[in-house]
Amino acid sequence: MNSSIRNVVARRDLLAALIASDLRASTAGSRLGWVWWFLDPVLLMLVYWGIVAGVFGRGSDRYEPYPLFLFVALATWKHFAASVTKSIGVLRSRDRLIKAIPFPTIALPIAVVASGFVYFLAAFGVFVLAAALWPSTRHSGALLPLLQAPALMVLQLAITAGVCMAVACYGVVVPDLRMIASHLLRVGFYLSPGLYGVDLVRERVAAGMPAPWAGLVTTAYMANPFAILFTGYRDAVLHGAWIAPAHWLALAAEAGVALLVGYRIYQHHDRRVFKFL
Amino acid sequence: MTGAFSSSSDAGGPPVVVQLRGVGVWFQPKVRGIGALGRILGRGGRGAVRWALRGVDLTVREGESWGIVGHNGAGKSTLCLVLADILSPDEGVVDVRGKVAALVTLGAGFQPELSARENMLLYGAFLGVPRATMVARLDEILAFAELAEYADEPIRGFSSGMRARLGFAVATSLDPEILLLDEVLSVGDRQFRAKCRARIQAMKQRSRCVLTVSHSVTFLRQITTHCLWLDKGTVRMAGPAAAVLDAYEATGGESAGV
Repeated sequence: MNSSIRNVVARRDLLAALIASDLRASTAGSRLGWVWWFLDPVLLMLVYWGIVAGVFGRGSDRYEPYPLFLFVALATWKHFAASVTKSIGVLRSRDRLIKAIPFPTIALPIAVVASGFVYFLAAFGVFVLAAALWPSTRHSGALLPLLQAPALMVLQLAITAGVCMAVACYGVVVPDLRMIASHLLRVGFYLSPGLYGVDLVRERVAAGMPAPWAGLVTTAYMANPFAILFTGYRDAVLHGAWIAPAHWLALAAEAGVALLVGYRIYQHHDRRVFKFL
Repeated sequence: MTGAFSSSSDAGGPPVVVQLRGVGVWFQPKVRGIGALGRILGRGGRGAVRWALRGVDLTVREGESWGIVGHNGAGKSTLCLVLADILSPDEGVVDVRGKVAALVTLGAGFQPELSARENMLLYGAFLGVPRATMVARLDEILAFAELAEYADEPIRGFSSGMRARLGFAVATSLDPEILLLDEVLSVGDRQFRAKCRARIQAMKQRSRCVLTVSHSVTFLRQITTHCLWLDKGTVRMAGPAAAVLDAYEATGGESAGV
């Protein structure tokens, strides 16, 4: 059974069962269970906050509230990075199943992304709640911009799913891909405005090169979809601000391309991958 | 490649349920790293390949029970994967007309952290059984697998025999039109194996045709009407079971019971 959209839709019961079993398995054997979905991103944020603000004395003066500024970027990146890492090994870890039952195997990386998204939603709930209790002095007071968050999430899902579909195939034939990806993901996070804001990038670039070039470099920097996602979530929730239409367009185009290319790659290699398992 | 044959192939006798024409499947020696990436990207040519199946023709009609025999590495399991639509052939045409249930690797999708009940729902979803149907059958499946008292226990603690029983019970709860069996009758103890045989007999009666992969000539003589003898991926002989199995045995084919 090939991994066409039609087959995935026809087997949506399987997708739902995979997501449910993944969530169930993540809490099985743990005393705190689903509490970890909320606790884990908070602890991660505390580690980064402790290092950046506590040890290096950065961030808190410029971005306020800095813990929440960090939190949303860490939660978003964690969804992406964890989904990519897990997708790389997902076909290999299910090889006996793939060799025993005909089903659209593309459901496996999609389920990885979807179940990871449930953890992200839990973290995002914590983020919104904390933002309500700990309002930024830079918040415009408008609540309507909050409505941008679900649209950003859809685009985040599309980008993550596209990348995951592609790496799921290549993970079968390149056993070292997980190692390579872990380094690329680390570099990717530090290049994205997770610990700092785009304003800092703009400032540094402007200080180092002539104005036309500085503008070009900043525009190129914003081509990173996570630069728009991090900034977008902060604008929508922490600042009550609207995201620039150009950024929406860029993000939507990137999400569309990622999803299409990832799907086409999976389609192309779908049956070939079996021979490498 | 799969595709429908013209109705002329149905002419004479019961309708054709499975038809293979010139089916071939190749595998490549394992290559890792950059070489493997180049291969999957389709660069650097196909290189040396090993044909697991080549030029296989087969026509199975309704009501027939086919056995597939051959020595280790003959291509029996690969043929099963092709028939089950798990693996696409690299050449030739496959036409399978009906819902297939392949009893190949039982319990392959089980997750150790989940309970027997949760694993059954997940396994059912992989097999394409609607959740509501699966929920309605849970108790019956657990009873057959003799695991009702362990329904909510994580299967991490199950023995391999218990897992195989659970896998067999779920997989055989389907009502397939075409039944594929690949050496699955060695599940559990003697008593449970007898139960398995009875269930498979019942499934055979409900299905349109059955294809059984086995090393056991004795077993195949009991249950098949026709046999396909594979040798190094090609068809050595196909036809009425007695003639094929006699010829196979004459070359040293196994004759042990199940």
